[in-house]
Amino acid sequence: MSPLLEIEDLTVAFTAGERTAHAVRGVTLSADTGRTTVVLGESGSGKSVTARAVLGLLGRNARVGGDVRLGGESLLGLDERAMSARRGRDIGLVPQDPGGSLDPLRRVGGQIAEVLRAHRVRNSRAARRELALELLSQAGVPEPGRVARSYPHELSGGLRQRVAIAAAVACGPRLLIADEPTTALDMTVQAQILALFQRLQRELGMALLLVTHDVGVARLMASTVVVMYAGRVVEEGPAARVLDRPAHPYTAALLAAQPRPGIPRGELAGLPGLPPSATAEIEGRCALVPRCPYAVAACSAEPPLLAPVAAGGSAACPVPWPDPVAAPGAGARTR
Amino acid sequence: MTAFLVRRLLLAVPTVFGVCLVVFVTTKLVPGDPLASLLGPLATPAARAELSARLGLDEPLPVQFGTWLWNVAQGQLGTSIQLQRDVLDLVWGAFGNTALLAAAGALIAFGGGLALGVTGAFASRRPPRWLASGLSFLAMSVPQYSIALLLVVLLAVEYPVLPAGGMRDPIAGGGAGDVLRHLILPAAAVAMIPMGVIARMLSAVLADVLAGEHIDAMRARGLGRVSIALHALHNALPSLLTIAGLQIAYLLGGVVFVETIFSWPGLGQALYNAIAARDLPLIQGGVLVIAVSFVLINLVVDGAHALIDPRVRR
Amino acid sequence: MAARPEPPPSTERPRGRPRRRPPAALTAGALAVLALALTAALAPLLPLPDPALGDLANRLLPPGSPGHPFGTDGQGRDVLSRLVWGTQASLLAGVVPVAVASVLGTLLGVVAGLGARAVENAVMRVLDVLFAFPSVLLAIAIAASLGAGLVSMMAALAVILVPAVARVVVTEVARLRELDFMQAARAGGAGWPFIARWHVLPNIMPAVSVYCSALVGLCVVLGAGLSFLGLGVAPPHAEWGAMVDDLRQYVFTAPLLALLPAAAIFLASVSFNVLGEGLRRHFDVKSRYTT
Repeated sequence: MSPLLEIEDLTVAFTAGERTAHAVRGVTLSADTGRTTVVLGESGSGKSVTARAVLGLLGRNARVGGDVRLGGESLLGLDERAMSARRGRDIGLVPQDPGGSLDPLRRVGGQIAEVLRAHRVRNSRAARRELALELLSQAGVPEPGRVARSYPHELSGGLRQRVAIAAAVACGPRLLIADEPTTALDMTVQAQILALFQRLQRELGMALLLVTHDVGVARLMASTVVVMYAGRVVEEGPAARVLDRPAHPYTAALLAAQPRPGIPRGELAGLPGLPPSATAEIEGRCALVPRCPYAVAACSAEPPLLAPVAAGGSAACPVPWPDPVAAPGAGARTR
Repeated sequence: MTAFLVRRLLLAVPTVFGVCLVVFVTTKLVPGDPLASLLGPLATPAARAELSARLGLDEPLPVQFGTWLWNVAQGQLGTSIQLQRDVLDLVWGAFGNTALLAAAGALIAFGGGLALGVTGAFASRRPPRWLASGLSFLAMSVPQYSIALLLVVLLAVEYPVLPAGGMRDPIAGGGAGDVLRHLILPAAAVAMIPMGVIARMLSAVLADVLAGEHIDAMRARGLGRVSIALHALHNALPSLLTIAGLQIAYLLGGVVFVETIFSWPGLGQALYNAIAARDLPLIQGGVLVIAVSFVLINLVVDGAHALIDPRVRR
Repeated sequence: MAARPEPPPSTERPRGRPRRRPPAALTAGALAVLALALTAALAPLLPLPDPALGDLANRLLPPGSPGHPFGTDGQGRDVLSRLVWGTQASLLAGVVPVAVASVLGTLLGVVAGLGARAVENAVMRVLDVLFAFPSVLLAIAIAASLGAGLVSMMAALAVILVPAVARVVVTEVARLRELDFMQAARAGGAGWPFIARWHVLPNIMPAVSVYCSALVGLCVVLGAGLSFLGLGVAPPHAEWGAMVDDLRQYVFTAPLLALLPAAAIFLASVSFNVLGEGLRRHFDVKSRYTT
């Protein structure tokens, strides 16, 4: 049987005046029930746009190509009304900033009940309120009764994110998309929220699509890792293989990158320069060419294709480059 | 909530005190010799001294202010020079008519501003959006006296469907329906600027709210268009209230022109006549009463703001 | 990555402020205001009858009469000539008070924003009191006390605009104060005059000048309004607001006449507002403040 979520050759371009930004340039990935697919990449790699394309929330000036299928049904052809009925019911989204994702003027309990009402999960007000309390408690909120009566500004960041998660899973979605769900939180709270995701995924049997720039989060959560660069997938495969034996120079550099003094923000060790902008023309060549120390003439001549890697998954780098484990001293991959 | 209201009420006390001080100071700015203007240039020094003592003008200024404030607190606003009547009586009689006009104006300003602002923010096609923002821009720019005259010329002179002035028809009038007919034009004139400003600010605030993260999150949770629009309006309400509170000032200022042009027997017309007659006690009494009612209106606005926005209540 | 997808900024964009075509509103507003200024400046040179010279034999001529294209008023004075000459007073009433108020208000606002807590509180309390007055009424009270005349009218307008400007400046400075570079400047031991001149003023200028430009249209309307009430320009001089007040008594006999100066004030107000809106768009300042 085919996986729950299939994204096939997805392209997303935003137009503003004469300028066109290619945020996603042909992405194929899938997420399946009970498994966690982590999309890993830097800012601007197109990972969030990919996630939001699944929800159909890209706005008016986005042009979307390719296909997105949920349970075999294509989502891109649906009109706004049909898409809106699937958002929240079949697909849940946990946004990055728990503070901003809740209405500041309304009690949080009501905001969860509202999702239930929109999708007609319970028909009476009392039943919705009761289920909202259950959802809060399922999301690990202590004293759900008190929290439900609180306004967002009265809650801590971790608690707010638990509320946002409760709202996202309120209707029992088959797919949960989490876009940098822990980036705005403290380290200790991050771990708790990630554990909550794991528990909810088990209990509700969801597919989890987790978007992050944090290799640590990927290590903790992923069954499958998809690495994105400049709007393309450069490598994908089982988490253990990709994170331990990367088959693409970019993945290797990303894994090796630890925040440290002396390296300007945005630059990766061993990869001088910055990613190409979304308006840059990179058709027909590897996007990493200007930065890659292993690039050969062929890299600029033909578009990189994902090719199977021996230990599982695939990578878009046909050039033989030094294996990180075999050659730990190689400049690009000092751990 | 109670604590917030009490605190806000206490804050209004120094404001009202300051308002009184400003009004008092303006009386002292008047150039020329008040005694000479009352007694004539040929008055004897003895007569001058006697009058000066009687009016308290020989006291130091702070003492004079204290006396004046004490009188105001007791409702003694002085005597109108022109009409030789108690200022409080005059002002009180006109106050109700002005309040009626201002309330009707506020209704039109909020209703129209809401409609134009919502159209400007939510309409999915361009023409209605442009029309709404163009109309609100014009409304915002048109002086009250210009629109008042235009309305008179159009709807009372050229096509006489509504009365050109007054509050009641002298022959047939007096009923509520008659007052309402007289109210329409002045209320529309006084509402024009506030309506334009409210519409423009509301559109801007709504656009900000709609771009906000929590509206985005609501879309992601599958809420419908209507319920998202209602949420956006709810979130725009606090800003709308703040704007509306400020716009009431324009409304209250505009009544001076509009009442004059429409001969509406309110505070504004009284002020116009008082200015023409250089009737300072009446000018001050009118200004004081309008300013104090504006302070009270703002108290109500703040209370409503706190009701809507839990973050303000602490 | 941003939660909302936006086209990521291009690295190919030329450095510095991107060159933008000025918004249409800016061009239109500037042209309209320029036309007003030219009218005011050229009034003495234009072949017009004396605006103050009455001719009782030819009073209340309708617009389109020979020799008087816009007609004559109740004393037989040429309305076109009075409208043209009236531009001077209206422009003065609009521009001078705003200029004075923007300087004083900025000064007051910066001192309050950078000074001690107590200074800020004191200034804000005073502003609160002035804001308790509907601006028209405060202007009426002040102008009535100072006596009629162009100067006292402009003084009254300046006084009511100062708190408005000062409040915007205080808000902007408070916003700025929290930013890192300001804290760094303070930590570096820079005195407040230095900070005010080199850090604060350049940063608040766009918002404040856009706000002030939006005040000019309002000030034209208020100035003409004061004249309408008899608190502005003295009668023999041509002034639009006074003309409205004078001509409205003939609204039943000569309805068009009264509308002419009313329309002139409206046009001037729209011109300045369009210019202000153009400036706002050009400098990309959000309309945070109501005028």
